Amino acid sequence: MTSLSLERITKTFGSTIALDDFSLAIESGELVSLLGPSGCGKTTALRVVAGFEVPARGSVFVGGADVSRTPAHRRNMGMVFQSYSLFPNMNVAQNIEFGLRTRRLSPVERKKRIEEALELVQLQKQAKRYSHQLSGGQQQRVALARALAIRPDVLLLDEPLSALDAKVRSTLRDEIRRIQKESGTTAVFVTHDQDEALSISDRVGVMSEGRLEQLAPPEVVYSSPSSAFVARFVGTINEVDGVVENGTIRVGPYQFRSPRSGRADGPVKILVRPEHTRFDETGIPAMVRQTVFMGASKLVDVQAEVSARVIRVQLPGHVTSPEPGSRVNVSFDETKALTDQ
Amino acid sequence: MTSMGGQRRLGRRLILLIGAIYFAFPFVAMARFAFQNVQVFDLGRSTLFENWSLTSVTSAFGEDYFWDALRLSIQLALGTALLTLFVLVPTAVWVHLRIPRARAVVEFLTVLPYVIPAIALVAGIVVIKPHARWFLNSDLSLIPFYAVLALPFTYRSIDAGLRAIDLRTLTEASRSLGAGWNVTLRRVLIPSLKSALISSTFLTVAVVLGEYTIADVLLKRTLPAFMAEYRQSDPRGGYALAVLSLLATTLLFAGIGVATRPRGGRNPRTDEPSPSTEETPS
Repeated sequence: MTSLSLERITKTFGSTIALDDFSLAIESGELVSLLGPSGCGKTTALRVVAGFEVPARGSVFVGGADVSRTPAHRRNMGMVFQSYSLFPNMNVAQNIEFGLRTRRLSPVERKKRIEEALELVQLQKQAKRYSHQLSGGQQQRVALARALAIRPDVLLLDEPLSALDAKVRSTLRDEIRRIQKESGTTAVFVTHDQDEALSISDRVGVMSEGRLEQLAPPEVVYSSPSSAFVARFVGTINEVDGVVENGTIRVGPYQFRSPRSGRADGPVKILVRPEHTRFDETGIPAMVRQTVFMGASKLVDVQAEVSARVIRVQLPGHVTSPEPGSRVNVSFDETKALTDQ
Repeated sequence: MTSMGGQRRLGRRLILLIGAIYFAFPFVAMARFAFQNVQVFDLGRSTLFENWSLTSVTSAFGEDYFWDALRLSIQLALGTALLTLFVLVPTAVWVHLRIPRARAVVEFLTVLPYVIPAIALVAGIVVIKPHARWFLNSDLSLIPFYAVLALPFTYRSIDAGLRAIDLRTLTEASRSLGAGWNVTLRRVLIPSLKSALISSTFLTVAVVLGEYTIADVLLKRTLPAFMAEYRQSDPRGGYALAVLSLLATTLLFAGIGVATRPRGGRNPRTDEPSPSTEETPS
């Protein structure tokens, strides 16, 4: 098991800064997801770790050793790509064997590792098949087996599920997590899908414009986003216009003090999740527009009288919700509300 | 709709038939001249099946010089194909991976040998000839010139092969598994480009079997040079060889079609059926 750290990496493509003084430290055996919108630099960060991109500045350490100048084929990284990457001229077993041959392992050891890898991804029966005879999900499982068979220091997963349909995606996501935990391999998982990142990771790193906005366990990223960007990017968020006056935030008649807002007086946007919103007589006057039953929860959309914005309130599924057209008051869990200008 | 489709199919077949006649007619005429022991002015519909014989070609085969010329042409074809493989494949891979924006420029450069007539290349060879006799004296010195002449066809073939695979991902997957450039090229890319390389090789052979100008200027006795010379002493024998050469080239192109036909859905080694369990292949 090996730790991974990137220290102050800067990578540019022409005039575009892909990674801007980017640092990240990952513990041994940990799975960290890099989550962010397209062009935020998450794949570039992964490619810098793999050795496919050379940073303008900064260093990559694997198990404490500086590998910044080590070429990609000597880094001992296992990588699963977004697009199908099985070698079409080799069958499943030969694909897995490829990395073992380059390491000059004995035929006995190669055979053992191929069997182990196939068992890990439960594809023993498909050992002799070629990539065109496998489904997308099977191909990605073989790619995973191939990457793990070399016993890599770090497993790099570059949006490995994005080409798959929803059902296979969800199954394979759980499988990747199980295999990663079983093998104890340090892993970096790049995705733009927040559900994927939140469900699979020990920690999630949310990226924006080449920088790490927040690196924390999934629950923390979701419930206590460190910035308005993270709050907006991860999960659903209500944005309500308000005003700061002497440290107090006011939306119409509703006033509260937020421990997470240090804004100067003036207009402000309040960011709060639907589940941190409730019906309360001291809250913002609003009219119910619609209620959507989601099984375990109910989503109630209300139109605030003082704002053009719709506020979504999430209630437990068993609670009786107000009828559309009825007048209500909405307030927030003040400890969870964030503000942005 | 069906009748319109039928008409369209019929139209296509008619065009194909007209094309086939257009090409077959002079070919048959040449074959009749070469292989029928009939006076030229008697060659008509009534003599179509009369006195066919292989004597013209067997007498050409009887010339010692013929076998030397054939051997040299085969050597040149193999040498040119190998040179193309060793130089052009890494170059094309490098252009695709490292300077994809230069692809248009490289494409333009590779088409130049097709646009510039061979005689212009010959003029260049004549200029350098006094300074490079040590090289040009060898019969195999034709190989680099033939590789250049074949470039418009071979580069396009390899380029199309590279565009058909996910080159970047395959290369990076190979490198991430510990393979250097050499192993990546040898074990991953070249096998993945098999069809393109077969096409390129056949096209190279076709070019070598048809090239006369440079061989003549450099006084090399290749098969086309022999054919041109032999035609002067025995026109029927010369044309008989030309027919055979055309047939060989046609067979090569048919070979491209067969060799590059996509593989079916069944595993060729294990003969297992396509997967039916779990998810269906997309």
